[in-house]
Amino acid sequence: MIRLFLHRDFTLPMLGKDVFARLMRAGVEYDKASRSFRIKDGADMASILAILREAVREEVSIELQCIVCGDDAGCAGCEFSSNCDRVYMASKCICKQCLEKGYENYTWYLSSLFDAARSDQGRVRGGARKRSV
Amino acid sequence: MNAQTMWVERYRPRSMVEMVGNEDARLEAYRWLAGFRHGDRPLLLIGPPGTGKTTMAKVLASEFGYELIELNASDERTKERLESLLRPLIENANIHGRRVLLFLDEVDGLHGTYDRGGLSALLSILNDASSVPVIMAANSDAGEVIKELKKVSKVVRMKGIPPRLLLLYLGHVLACEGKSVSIGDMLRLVIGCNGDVRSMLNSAQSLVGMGVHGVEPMGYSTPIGSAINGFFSSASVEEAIDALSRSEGSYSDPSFGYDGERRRLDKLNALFSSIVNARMDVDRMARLLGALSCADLLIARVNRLRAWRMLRYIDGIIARSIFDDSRGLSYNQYDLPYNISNRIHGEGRMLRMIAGMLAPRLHESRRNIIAYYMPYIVHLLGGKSKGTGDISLDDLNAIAKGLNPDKRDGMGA
Repeated sequence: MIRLFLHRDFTLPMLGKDVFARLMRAGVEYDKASRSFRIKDGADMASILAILREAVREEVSIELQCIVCGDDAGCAGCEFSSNCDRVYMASKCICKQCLEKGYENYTWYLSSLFDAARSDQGRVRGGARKRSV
Repeated sequence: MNAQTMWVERYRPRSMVEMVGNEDARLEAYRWLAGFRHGDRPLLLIGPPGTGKTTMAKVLASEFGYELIELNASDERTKERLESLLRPLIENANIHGRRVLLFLDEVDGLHGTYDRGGLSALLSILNDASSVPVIMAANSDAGEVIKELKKVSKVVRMKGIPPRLLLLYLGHVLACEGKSVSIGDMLRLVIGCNGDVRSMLNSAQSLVGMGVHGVEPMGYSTPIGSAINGFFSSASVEEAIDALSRSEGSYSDPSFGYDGERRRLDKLNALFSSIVNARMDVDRMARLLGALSCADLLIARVNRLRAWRMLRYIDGIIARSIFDDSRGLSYNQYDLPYNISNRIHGEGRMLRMIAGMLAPRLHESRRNIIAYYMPYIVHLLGGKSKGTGDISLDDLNAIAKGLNPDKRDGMGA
């Protein structure tokens, strides 16, 4: 089984020039230095899965990332795996360990993200004003 | 807080942190508005229904102290309408020190050609509205309008909310309410809502409030026939309302086109066909049809104004207005007596057959053959002077015989 990670680089076996070109058109990027692939934002996931399934002739699955800890969400062992069409889902989910820590842990993490975003923007705007002066 | 409040209202997110799912998209939109400066591009949110596009626009406006001005772009589609609504808004937005955020919902409902310059007007307004933050929302990523809007906007894509995050949120809401449901019911609620948080909260509230177990047996799936019969045999108005509300049917909008199945499932249509087929005196039927006519007007108005939440009152309005006169009736699916509908069906079939034969020979469309040629053909073949509306089955048989003498008599009768 091939696992596609939406949040980090992954490798693929040699699939040939034609498949490579089709993957690039569908929204996959290739990094020559690390010889790894990455899925771009807004990529056509349904096409990518179809191309890979046809090329490798084995099961290809998408692995989501845990929003809180940043690890893999553990889609293979998820209780919703058969009801979750990951092609159409957001790339971030939550892993079992973080789910058990509860909703407060999730919102606490999100608060820190938004606070950081607000202070970043404040810094950017302050810097821009300084430069214009 | 009132215990009867809907959970979707009680737990409506008031900040970006309180929303669930699409964290990257939320963060991107947050950064966009936090750093918004004169000349920045508008924000285009693209994602399926129920993923929080409208909620996000409202929450962003409230968090950053903007006054939200919301417009449904698929309702205001023409150039003139968009110009007259948006231009004054944008030009006067900052006059009184008001910070205005413009939210254009359903921009994918616009059409470049059919909407008489609606798209070009919107693009021109967006170009001039650089001092006002504009958020647009679209359900679809495809189409001419979105292609053009993507060129001038910052695009943020939203996707379905993964079930585990929904489970986390459901657990939080149930804990806040001090309620508990079995893990099996929680899983069913999450799976059954298809990523729509509102739907999940409504189902969960029904489950804990009314003791209805699971998503599937919510009691709203009574077949239309049983529901209408239940309505006619109810002992009280409340029972009648309950029978209607539990039906699988709905109040659909004819302007979006009817197919046979949607027409069968239309509750108003089911009541109408049952009433016109019943034997009763003229006054009673007039009262019943008058009440249905009022309800029909109301439904059309609700659909035109897109105020769909008002549809919840239609069951009650209909039940209260026709309850006394409709006792003892029974469900009938067909709105015409069998002999008339059979005749219409037979004549229609024969007309289509004759038009199909003549159209290629006369290089005309089938519609034109039926509308303009048929009266003369009847006259020539049948030797009678009749209009299209007077063509009888015998006339049609005569034409069919004349066109194709090998066919047997009485075709389609």
